[in-house]
Amino acid sequence: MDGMSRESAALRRYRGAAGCLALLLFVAAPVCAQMQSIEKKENPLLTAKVREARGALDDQEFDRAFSAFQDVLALALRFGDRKWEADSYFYLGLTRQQQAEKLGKGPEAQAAIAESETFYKRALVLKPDSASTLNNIAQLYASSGREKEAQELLRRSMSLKDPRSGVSAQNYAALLDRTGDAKSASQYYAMVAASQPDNVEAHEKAVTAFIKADPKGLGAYLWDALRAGQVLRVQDSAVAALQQREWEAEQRRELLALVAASLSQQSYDPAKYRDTFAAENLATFAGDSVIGGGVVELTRLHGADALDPSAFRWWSEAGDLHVDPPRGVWPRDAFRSLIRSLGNWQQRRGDLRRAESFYRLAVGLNRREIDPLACLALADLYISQERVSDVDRLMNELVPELFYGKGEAYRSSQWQKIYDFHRALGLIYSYLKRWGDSGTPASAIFQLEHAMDAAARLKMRPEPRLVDSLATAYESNAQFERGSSLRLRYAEEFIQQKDYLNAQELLAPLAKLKAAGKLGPADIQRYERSLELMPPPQKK
Amino acid sequence: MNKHLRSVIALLGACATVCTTGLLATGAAGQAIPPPLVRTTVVIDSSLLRDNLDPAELERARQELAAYAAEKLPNPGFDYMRWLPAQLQPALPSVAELRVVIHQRSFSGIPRLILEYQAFLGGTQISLSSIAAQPIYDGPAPSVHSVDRLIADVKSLRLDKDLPNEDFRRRLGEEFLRNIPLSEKVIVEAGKPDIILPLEFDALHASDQSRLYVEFTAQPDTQPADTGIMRLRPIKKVRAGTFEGGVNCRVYMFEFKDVSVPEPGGDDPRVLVILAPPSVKSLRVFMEKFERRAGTLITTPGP
Repeated sequence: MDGMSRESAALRRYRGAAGCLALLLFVAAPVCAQMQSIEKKENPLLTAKVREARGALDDQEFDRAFSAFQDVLALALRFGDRKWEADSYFYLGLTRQQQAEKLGKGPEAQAAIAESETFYKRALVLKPDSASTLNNIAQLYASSGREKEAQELLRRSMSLKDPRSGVSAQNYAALLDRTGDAKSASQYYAMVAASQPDNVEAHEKAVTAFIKADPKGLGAYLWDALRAGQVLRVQDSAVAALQQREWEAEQRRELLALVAASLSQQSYDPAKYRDTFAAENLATFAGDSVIGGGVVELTRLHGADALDPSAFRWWSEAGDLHVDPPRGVWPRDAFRSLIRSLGNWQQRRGDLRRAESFYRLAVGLNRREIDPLACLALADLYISQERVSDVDRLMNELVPELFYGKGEAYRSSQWQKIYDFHRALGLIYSYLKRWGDSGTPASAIFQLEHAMDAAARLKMRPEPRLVDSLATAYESNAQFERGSSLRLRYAEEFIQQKDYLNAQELLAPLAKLKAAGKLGPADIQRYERSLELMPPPQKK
Repeated sequence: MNKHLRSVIALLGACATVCTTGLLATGAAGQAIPPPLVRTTVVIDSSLLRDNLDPAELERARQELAAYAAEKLPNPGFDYMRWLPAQLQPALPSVAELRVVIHQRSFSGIPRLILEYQAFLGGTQISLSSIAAQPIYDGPAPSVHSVDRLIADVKSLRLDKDLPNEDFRRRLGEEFLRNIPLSEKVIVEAGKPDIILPLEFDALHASDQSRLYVEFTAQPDTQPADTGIMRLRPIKKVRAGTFEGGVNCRVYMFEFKDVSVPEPGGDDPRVLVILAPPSVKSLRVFMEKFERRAGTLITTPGP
């Protein structure tokens, strides 16, 4: 019985394998026919030979590839195919170039290089703007000590509008690095990394070149990469850079600020921070005289149950209170941003008590410079829980410091901070419906008006939320004309700047006011003129 | 070695010159399996938006935002997947869906618009627990009277922040993209150590430092079918033959019953038998670790 079942099982397997073969043949036939029909559009002889030649080149069978590409060239000449004539020369050059790389540095390799150059030059005569050919000849020159000529060709290749020229830019950076100009190399690597966000090698080489030749430039590069969303790479590079050389105190602080800033743009469970690459590697700096305190406090932030501002003195004092940083943000602002981000993480997972603790910490980190963004986040959190009375209490508690901080920002002309303070105050007063007026600082109208002035100084387009809140504040005070006039003023500005979206947003409520008879004749005229200036799809 | 397994090796080794797993219909010359298609969709579930915008405008927002997400998602990183918004070529079958849901929560009568990402694989929702729903606006949602305003805000305040963020992409990759099968078959050839993936080598862009993760069920002998895993390294393009243009891979790791190839790989004739029909019952290939191919030479002449 056993034997019989084994025999029949074997038979089944034979049948299965045979069936498989039959199926393969069955399927392959129409496909081959289809391939042939595609090839007929070109030249079947040429296509077959090209396929053979490329296959041989991929398999690094250089002599077979060379011979096959020679055949391709002969066919191209016979059929008068100029494209394949040029491409044959390119491939002949490539074949010899790759062969030379395998041969090392002996006379055979030199002969292959010389031959490769000849073929590439013929290709270039037929296709002078080939980024591929220019790049590859440059690599030939670079490998044989003709760096200047290589640089010239790579510059030409880079200037072409060819997606492949990114390879040339990276080769150019490598060549500069090799010839001792690491500072320029760092700039080109940075350029390649910025244009190819998934090019990890370019990023790593940029960082290495900056560390080697332009350490002070590293911070600027990493801040740019952070703005482009490379939060993990920046975090790891900043940590690795700290380990790779002795830095001046200011740069050490900046690199730690970059770590905090990149952590603030990630979404993670604070309890898992200890196991991260950053935490493990930063631990070695816990005793560092400049940043040791910051490293210890960073760990503390992620583990502490009680978030007392006095436990974070290193970060609260890091940076100048009275001027903006030369680039990026001051360490204490990066740290505040991280605290808010952790608060936001807790809020999203529903632990509102913990979220409140984080926002409170950010608010109170440095009472000489209160964090207006954290104040607003806290007010938003209270409103989301219908705790309007807590918003009221918050304002009573923090108003002196918010006004003091705003005053300090004015004294040192830090306009971004001035804007943040007015915006937070204006929106929180709006929550409390303390509309007030232009002469009452403790009111939504006063603060929002000043927020818009600050935005104008910063050459920022006024945030529609602010304009709308201010207009609503006027309208709530029955100052309909003032509200509509504000809407019209900014709508007209937006129309002038061809920002029809914002204009439309501001104009929309005026339709209701007009219908309710609350719009004066002059405003009706301005409103209708604004509508006429809007492009047809935006008209309502 | 398992006695049954040895007999099957002998049997199949003798008869099969080419064995393939699964059906061959789409794995023939010039017909590598196309990259998996992932649909991007947008769902708007907010009374604030419904009250202010008409259905045609909401539909436009859905379509434009879905198209925007599909355009932004392939780069940077593993760009092999095809991302298409739901409205484009709707007849094409897709394997997965990334859904952007805009919904509304009201607190004290103040509405807030929330944006959430949801992932579906074969129609089943899978967890994106590490990507939390986020408010679109810091504060209360402004009165939304313009669909253009809404589209611009969702793009600039959320999609432009989330989609290029390396941390977001890592999470999306780990929880969603890594679970999308690239192929449900591999091809093994008797006497050759390589394993061919019927995917487009040129479109995959993976260097030989990348790792493909394969899970399979096989029954190479009379014992009940069992599950196994392997990791593959993509080595080079298949240049000729039935699977031209496909991906030639080497085994980096293999585990099935008592057959084991430890990292960093090697040849074991039993692997081919286990993966050949009729042994293999089901198989799925995933991209586990992606590294882009790079080099100093440009190997194609260009236009």
